[in-house]
Amino acid sequence: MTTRLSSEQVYDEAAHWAARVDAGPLPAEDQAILDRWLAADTRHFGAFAQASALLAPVHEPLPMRVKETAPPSRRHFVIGGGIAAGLLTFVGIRNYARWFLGEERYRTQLGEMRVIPLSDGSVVSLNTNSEIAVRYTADQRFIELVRGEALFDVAKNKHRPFIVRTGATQVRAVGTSFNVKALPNQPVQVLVREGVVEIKRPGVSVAPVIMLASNNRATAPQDAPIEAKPVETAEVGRELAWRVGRLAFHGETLAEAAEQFARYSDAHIQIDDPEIANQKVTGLFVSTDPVGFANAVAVSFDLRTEITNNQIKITR
Amino acid sequence: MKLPSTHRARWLARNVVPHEQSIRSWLRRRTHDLDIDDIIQEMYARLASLESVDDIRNPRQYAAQAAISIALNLARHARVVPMVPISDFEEAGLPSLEPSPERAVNSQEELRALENSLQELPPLCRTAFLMRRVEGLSQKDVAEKLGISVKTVEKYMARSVRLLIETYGRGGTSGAQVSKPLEGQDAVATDRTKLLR
Repeated sequence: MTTRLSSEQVYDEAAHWAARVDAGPLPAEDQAILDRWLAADTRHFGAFAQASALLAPVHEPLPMRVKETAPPSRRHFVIGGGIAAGLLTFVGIRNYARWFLGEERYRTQLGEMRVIPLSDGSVVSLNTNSEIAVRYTADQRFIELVRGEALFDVAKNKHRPFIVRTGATQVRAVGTSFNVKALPNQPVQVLVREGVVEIKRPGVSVAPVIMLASNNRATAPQDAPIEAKPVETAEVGRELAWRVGRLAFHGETLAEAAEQFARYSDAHIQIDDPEIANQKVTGLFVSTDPVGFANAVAVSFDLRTEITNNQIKITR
Repeated sequence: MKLPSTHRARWLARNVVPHEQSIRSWLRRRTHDLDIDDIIQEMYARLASLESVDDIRNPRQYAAQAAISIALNLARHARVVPMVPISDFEEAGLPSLEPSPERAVNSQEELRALENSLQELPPLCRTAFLMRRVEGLSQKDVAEKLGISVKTVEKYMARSVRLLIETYGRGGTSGAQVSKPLEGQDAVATDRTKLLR
């Protein structure tokens, strides 16, 4: 007896099976059930093929450095706080205080990228050499970007605003997706990918509150008003390429590109010739591979690379 | 039944999925009383069971051609009349599909488009799916990196794929359309759903 499912049901089933098969080999019993289901109706097999296609990784896996720095979980602090009550060192006090405040810290090293799921369903992607402190309370979700760059994908919750502070700048969102960059010697930058955020600098009198919508970037210099500018969709994509371990350039100079690479590894690209340094570069590169980048540049501009220890020189 | 290989799944993802929508709308304009989902599912089945796809120069046309012949078969079988007489239908040959924007999209734009279609999902589900699909981490690695269970990751994958089927194929109807089960035949749960009950 054939059983005919509606196409909705076929797609539902197909999506489930494709996800299961993608997870790993099925137990013989389930494989038999799947085989029977696929054989029962060509549409089943077709929908399954379609679902598998949508799940197939689009690229080969990146040779990304995925270094695990264990998050200092809250449990550690609990245990530490409990046992060490009598012999509190300075560190102990600090940790205990953090636990008491309900703070969790996450940091990445040079060239490392990390994705951190938070308890409310929001997700933070932390770029190279960055640090955040997460302080959640019943009525707000507070995050301090201590340094570096992070993308915040905020789970919607009207009653619990999501606030990111870095230095004097404060970004407030309800449910949205935005990137905050706090690099040394540069003004804080906020890029909104989706939704709207509110930016203010409570301590800075010349900076009124501004609302920033998606595809806009705000720059907050030390002591000048916050400036907002629209950004093309493609540029938003380029700017956020770091989440997949890449750096994307579109007409940046080689000097600017070299500066970008310096954020991701100890190896520095050095270009002495100003004419070379001003060449424009476009392309997608693995952020932790400055040597690969320098070689690619050398090939396309007919230049040479000299590689010593932590120095990559691009010359004629 | 042999499962489609990863290689084939990727081929379909690159060469057929992006054109599904235009094939669907071509069919929709020329047929009525035929279930487009049925045709598309059969089309994927055909492409997935081909011995080899290496010789297919123009996957878009090939896929469209397959869809047309399936539609014709269905029309004859179901004795429903396509809006266009069958002869015209056959003569029409290759559909003159609207020119698709050159597929020279780079991976950033692709990623961006993918993310846009996944915007409806909760952030964690979306992140898990992108880690699998874009970064190529295994489901197990995704679970480890995100500190969630393997079962949850699997659920997220199914959910994301289900959403993409809607957005890529049917233009974001989000499963609102429920196609009618054929008369006299109740949609019966498969073994799997029985198993879960």
